Amino acid sequence: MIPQEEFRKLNRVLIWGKGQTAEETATRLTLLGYEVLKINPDEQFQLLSIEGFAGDFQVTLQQTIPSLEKEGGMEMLERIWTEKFGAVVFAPELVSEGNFSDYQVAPTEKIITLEEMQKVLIPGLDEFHQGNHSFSALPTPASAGGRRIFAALKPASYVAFLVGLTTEGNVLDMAVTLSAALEIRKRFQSQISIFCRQVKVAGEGLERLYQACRDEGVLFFKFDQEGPALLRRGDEVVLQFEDTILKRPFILTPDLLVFDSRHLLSSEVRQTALSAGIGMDKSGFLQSANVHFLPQASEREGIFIAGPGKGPMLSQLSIEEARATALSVHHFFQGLTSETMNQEVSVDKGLCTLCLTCLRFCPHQAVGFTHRVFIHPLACRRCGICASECPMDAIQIEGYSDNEVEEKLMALQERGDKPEFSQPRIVVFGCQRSAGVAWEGAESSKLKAQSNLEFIPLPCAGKLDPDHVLKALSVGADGILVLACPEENCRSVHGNTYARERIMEIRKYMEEAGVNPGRIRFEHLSSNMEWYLKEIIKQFSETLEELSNPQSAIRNPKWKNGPH
Amino acid sequence: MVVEIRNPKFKSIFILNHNFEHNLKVNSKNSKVLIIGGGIAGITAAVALSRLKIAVTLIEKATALGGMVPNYCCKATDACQQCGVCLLNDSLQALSQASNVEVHLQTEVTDLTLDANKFLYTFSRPGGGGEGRAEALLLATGFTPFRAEDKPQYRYGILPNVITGLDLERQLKETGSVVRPSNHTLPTSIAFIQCVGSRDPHLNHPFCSRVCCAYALRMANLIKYKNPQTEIAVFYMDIQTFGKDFSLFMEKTEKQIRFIRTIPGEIQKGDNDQVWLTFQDDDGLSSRKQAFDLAILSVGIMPGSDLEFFKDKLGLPLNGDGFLSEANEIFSSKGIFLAGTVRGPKGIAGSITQAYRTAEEVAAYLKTRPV
Amino acid sequence: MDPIDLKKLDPDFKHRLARELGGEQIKKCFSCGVCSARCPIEKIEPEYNPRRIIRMILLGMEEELLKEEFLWHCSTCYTCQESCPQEVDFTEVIFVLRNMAVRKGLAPAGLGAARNLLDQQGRMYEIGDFENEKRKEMGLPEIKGNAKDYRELLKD
Ligand SMILES: Cc1cc2nc3c(=O)[nH]c(=O)nc-3n(C[C@H](O)[C@H](O)[C@H](O)COP(=O)(O)OP(=O)(O)OC[C@H]3O[C@@H](n4cnc5c(N)ncnc54)[C@H](O)[C@@H]3O)c2cc1C
Ligand code: SF4
Ligand code: SF4
Ligand code: SF4
Ligand code: SF4
Ligand code: SF4
Ligand code: SF4
Repeated sequence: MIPQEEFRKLNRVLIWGKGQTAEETATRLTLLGYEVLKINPDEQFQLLSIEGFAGDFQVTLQQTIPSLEKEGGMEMLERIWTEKFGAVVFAPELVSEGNFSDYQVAPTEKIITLEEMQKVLIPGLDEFHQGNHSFSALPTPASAGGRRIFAALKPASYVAFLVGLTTEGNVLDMAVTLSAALEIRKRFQSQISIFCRQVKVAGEGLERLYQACRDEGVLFFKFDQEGPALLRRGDEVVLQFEDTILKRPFILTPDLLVFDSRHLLSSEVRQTALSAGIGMDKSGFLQSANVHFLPQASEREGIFIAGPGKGPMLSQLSIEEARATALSVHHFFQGLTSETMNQEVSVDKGLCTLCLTCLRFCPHQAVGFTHRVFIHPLACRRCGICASECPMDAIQIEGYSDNEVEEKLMALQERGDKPEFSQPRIVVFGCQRSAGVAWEGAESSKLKAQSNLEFIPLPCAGKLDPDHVLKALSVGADGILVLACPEENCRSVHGNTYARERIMEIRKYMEEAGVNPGRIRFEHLSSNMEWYLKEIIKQFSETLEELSNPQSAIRNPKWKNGPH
Repeated sequence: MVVEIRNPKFKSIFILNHNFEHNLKVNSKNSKVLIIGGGIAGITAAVALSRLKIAVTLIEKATALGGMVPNYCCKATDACQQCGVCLLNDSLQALSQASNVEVHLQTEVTDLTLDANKFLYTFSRPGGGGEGRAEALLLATGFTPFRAEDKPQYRYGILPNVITGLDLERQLKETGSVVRPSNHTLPTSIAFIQCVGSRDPHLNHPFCSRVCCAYALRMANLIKYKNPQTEIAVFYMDIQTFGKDFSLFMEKTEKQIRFIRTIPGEIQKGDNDQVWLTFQDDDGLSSRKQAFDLAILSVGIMPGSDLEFFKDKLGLPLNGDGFLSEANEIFSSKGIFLAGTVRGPKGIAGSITQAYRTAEEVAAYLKTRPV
Repeated sequence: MDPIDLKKLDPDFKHRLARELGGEQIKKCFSCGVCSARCPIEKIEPEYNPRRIIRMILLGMEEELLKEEFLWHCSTCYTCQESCPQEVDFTEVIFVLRNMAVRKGLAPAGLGAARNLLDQQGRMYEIGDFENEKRKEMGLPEIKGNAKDYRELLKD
């Protein structure tokens, strides 16, 4: 058990974000009885760091306020302070940058972004995403820019939308484009052409909207690679393109040209996310590309991610995200009771020399220390990396103690070289959450009944201990098979890559020691790949038989009687 | 029968031929929420509610939990392709650890009435039946895959080497490889046909199924990874965005798979059981025929078969696409909630998010509803 | 080829066509090409391509289209119409286009002969057991109808 003084739980939640998702999450959490602080990430507020553990985070915030006017400009008042929260929700909106530069044009009165178009045309867009597809007549916009856009919309004018041409495109931009096009057709009868690569209709009602646009006479020009070329002719921009159906060249000089935007995480949020270590994908959006974080978890327990910060999404979905997140946060707090705070990974005080190797290696910031080292049960994802790295073997994982593994291996030795071992003996170290499930499922195919196979479950491949591998070889195993989840699918994020690296090291070491490294095999396997488990074992057995052949170059020196 | 039990030592679930129900306390008198449908959405909602200490009865008509997902393969190549199929194991594990969830397999609701904010229901199961009551109803009855026979021009069920995306999922899941059903050899050329049955107002399906681009391209990549020589063409109208890092995914996919923007008109039998596809050529100027070893029809998500029953019993409106839609206030005010594909096409991740969201709504409803 | 200026085409053409009996669904087309892939005439006469004809309609290429002789090549077998996922009644559209062409005096000379055929058979091409057999195989309903009905119709 974690000592009381080190485990606190604060029923306070910080929501770092703005817009619909942040608001909805805040409302739902308040209704559930939590104290909520919602802060907009902007120039004024910055989140500098999140320290501590789930249930008890210390969040350092910075506020910058322009104050007193002084000679030579404004004086900035800066305030930095730390507050405590039990959980943090990242729910930022994305910022949009018009894709003008991709086409080397500059915005003008006649060249605008989709967002500008949307603002003057469909103030009810949120409603739209919730299924209300009809809008009453809208007032003429108040802003001068808006009035100019309206002025350009006449029955005889041509409007061209360029969406998803220089970027992959997304369902949100397409929804806005389609609803704007429909609205313009209905109200102004202008001629509309939409240039895109894919019509993204994977959202509720969008295929119907696409059809409604066609019914209204909106034209769609789809491109496989390059979109239209933009030529300048005096004041005007001419679109030159080939129609992919007729394979004939066309030109269009639109009276209004609407570009889509790139949607990005603001630099403030990006910075915070990086420093807090919550995880991002390769495209720079929040949440790592690992399905086990779905729907709203981050790489750090107690920190959640909701809404479009993960990538552009329809507002229908961001509301769904918000409410689901509120529930996850609630679950998280409910799970924070002393009975559930079972210390599954624990440090033996007597053995620990406070070298802090574990603290450095833990990928989840789960190790803390005061006068001694402790592992936070919630932040810990049981990857076992710390336990494998600890020089003192001071860290044990419940159900996977070193003793137990060693006992199993000794038993293997005691079984000795019975004649029924006609096949190579293989010790399989497998992640309990993937290989373990596949192994149990493989029961029907009698893998488990094969006495030459010994399966040793690991809580995560990260717990693979090189000592155990060597031990297994020394007690007479012909081969070692290590099974970890597919890349980018490890529930503890790094366990699989860690195990692979460790195997590479062991193989190198073996080679130096004169043992054929082919006796150790590493494979990725997910829980639902029983067939592959069978396949790997079959192949590996063949390899091992080959290696055990006296003609074969290197024999396992530990291997006693041989399989035949 | 795929059922699972808890291993107390490792806190993991194992898939065994075992009766799941034996491991759970039966406590139906106190059950507050009736969940119908034990697919990924129903399971997730049950777990979410049980964590709020709300007692749940989960009724599943099949012999096993999981809905459609246990049919699908892992699509990992050198790395995970984020298909989400293995998430089912996570939720089954969570369910095995949940308290106050009562699971009835092979059980069907035979009657259902709503009376003064209470749901009274009767159910039947092999060797018996019974009745129960609940304060809220959560429908998670899922979907039916499009019946490929309903597109006769593709000759599904007639030509052996025309299979559906679902058949392919099953094949890959069970054997890890794809073979031509006619002679069990590896196909050297494969055609995927997208939107089979979806985006088709003619068949009264004026919607995109939202998952078939994803599963088709991921499986195409998987096949390519296993057998790089296989030539794969995808016939499509529009490719929908899915998953994280989609543009990187497409960049990679476009390098190894041929995309042809048209829908083939028909499939005919060729020599050696090859299939001949007739389609508008890339040049767009004329149609041509090309032989493939195997054609895969990317069937989509269609309304579930039992929706009429719920519509009749509870007076629920179906939306224009034939699904139950929540845009309508009637649902939640009556204590009826929906999660997963029963509401419309979506993938596993979307079903999970929605199950959480719905569980949150159910909890809020139980707190505030008129008694 | 000189590029065609979209603004010089007639965006109203598709709407006018859609107001004619049989042309109502034309704008629903999303260019999937099923009609062309299945059209028997397209196979022998690549000039003739339903998807391209529809595209010309949608883009407003009225003048060029109505002059085309290939409008008169359709065998009115209804294959396209029955397999279109978007419910475009293309066979009807062909009739509308022909009517439009006739109204503009653009019908080709051979039409008189065709008119006679129509008078005798009720359609340009005879639908016989062979065609119906093929339709049945594809799950399409049989086409009955005979010249008498058409003559009745033409009287009005
Ligand atoms: C070929 C194919 C491949 C796919 N591949 C993927 C993929 O790779 N990744 C992905 O994310 N998504 C994929 N999907 C989508 C995925 O199948 C769905 O998102 C998911 O199954 C939805 O789960 P569900 O719980 O809503 O419905 P279902 O899985 O359909 O579960 C519904 C459950 O309810 C039960 N039920 C129905 N009616 C009753 C009743 N009256 N009484 C009791 N029980 C009832 C059913 O027996 C079933 O168990 C694929 C879909 C198809 C068609
Ligand atoms: S690595 Fe081991 S010895 Fe070092 S601080 Fe951690 S528990 Fe103690
Ligand atoms: S098991 Fe993994 S997550 Fe837990 S403390 Fe050790 S290294 Fe960190
Ligand atoms: S998400 Fe899909 S591809 Fe990735 S490991 Fe799970 S089942 Fe395999
Ligand atoms: S997801 Fe792709 S294949 Fe499926 S209906 Fe939508 S566009 Fe067609
Ligand atoms: S089949 Fe229908 S939708 Fe497809 S191109 Fe032909 S008319 Fe258009
Ligand atoms: S009706 Fe005309 S256009 Fe249609 S398939 Fe038959 S011949 Fe071709």
